[in-house]
Amino acid sequence: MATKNQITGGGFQDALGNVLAGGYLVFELSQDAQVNGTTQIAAGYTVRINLDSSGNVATSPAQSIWPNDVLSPNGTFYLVSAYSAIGQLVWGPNAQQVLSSPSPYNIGVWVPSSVNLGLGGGGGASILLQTNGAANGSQIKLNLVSGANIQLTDNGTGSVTIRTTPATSVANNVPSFSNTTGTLQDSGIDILDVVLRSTNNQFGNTIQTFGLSGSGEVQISNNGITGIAPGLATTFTISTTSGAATFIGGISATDMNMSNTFNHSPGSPANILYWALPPSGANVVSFGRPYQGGGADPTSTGLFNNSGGMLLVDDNAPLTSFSSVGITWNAKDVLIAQAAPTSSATASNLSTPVVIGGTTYYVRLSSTP
Amino acid sequence: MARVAFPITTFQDAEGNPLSFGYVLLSISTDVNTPDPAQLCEGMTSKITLDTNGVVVGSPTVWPNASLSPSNAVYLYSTYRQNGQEVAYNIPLTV
Repeated sequence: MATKNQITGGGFQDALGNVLAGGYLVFELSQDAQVNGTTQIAAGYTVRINLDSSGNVATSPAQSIWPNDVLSPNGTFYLVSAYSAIGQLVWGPNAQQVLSSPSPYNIGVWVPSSVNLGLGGGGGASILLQTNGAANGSQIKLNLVSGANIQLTDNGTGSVTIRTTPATSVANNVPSFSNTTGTLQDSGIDILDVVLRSTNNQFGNTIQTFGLSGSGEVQISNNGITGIAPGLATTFTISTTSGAATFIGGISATDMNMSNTFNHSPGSPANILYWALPPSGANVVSFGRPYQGGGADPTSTGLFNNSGGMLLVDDNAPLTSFSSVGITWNAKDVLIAQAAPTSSATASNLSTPVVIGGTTYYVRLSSTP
Repeated sequence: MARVAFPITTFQDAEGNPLSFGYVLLSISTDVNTPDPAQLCEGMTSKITLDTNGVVVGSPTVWPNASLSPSNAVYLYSTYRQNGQEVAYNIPLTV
């Protein structure tokens, strides 16, 4: 509920600083008004405010008046006049406003005949306070309140800076997930696509597992995963409960050795698109087994697109049957496997075994039916 | 910004005679706000007394006009002989 505000100060004086001792002020409201929805303020009644021996509003007893910013309609003001102790008009009448803040309100700050707030009165243009296009409940007060992780700063010059204050720092352009090493569920982040970008080894050599509940895809940006040190096992796993899991984007690690494995969970097909071979001089890329590194042989169908490059399977536990690898072959794909064909269909797609260093390899080029 | 000394120290009539024991009435052209903050009243007139040589008695001070708001205000002063005869009226002064 709005209340009156005590007024103080004023320091009424002449050019040489001689104060208006024992004088008084007369306040006249510019128009009838209402406050708190229940009280009528009659403009016809003038209010007398006594000054003390220093030309200030006397504070004993305190003298209060209705602030203009709590009155309806908007834009009211007071016509204020100052009189000497013998009743001579020495100041005003001037159009002034008393506000609800600060309290008490020092009228020494008044600039004569300058209404302090542009509330639509005094013949000036009115303002309309809105939020997202809808009129605010109060048209006389706009108090900005910061929500979670939002910081508001009054710059003191009429502008307010709004900026976010994230709970945790976010390095560069890596999205901040609260559970980057856990599982992203639809209930946590309602998304179909998750875009992972790393330009500063944000992921490092840690194991990153992102699971999507439902269909969707995990994208690795063209920046790819960089800075994975050689000789360290890195596993990147996509798991879905339905639909395809897709790697898109470059994998530009400079030295991805055979320990690095790109997996997806059993039961879902995997699409691996557009990977980049390591630069010249780096180790050979090895994905281990294409679907489950070290696990059971895959039974689902994967796809290596035309823009894909190479699949090398060099597994210490050779596949028991290539027929179980339902890969759709395209140009540029190469399979080198350390496993013997176990079916005629698979055997027909493979070259004559090649013995290298005492180990037998079976090679299939995609151009070979 | 602080108050400064009233800039005129000696007053004479049109013939160059000092306004011995005369006086000066000083006011502001409009109500203004001062840096105190305080209100300087248009309707209040200040009196500055002069000595036998027409020199200002004491050290009266005023606010520089640039420190006042609104900024278009000017001081106005009138001079008088000892017997109250007006010598000059409402001379604008910017300090």
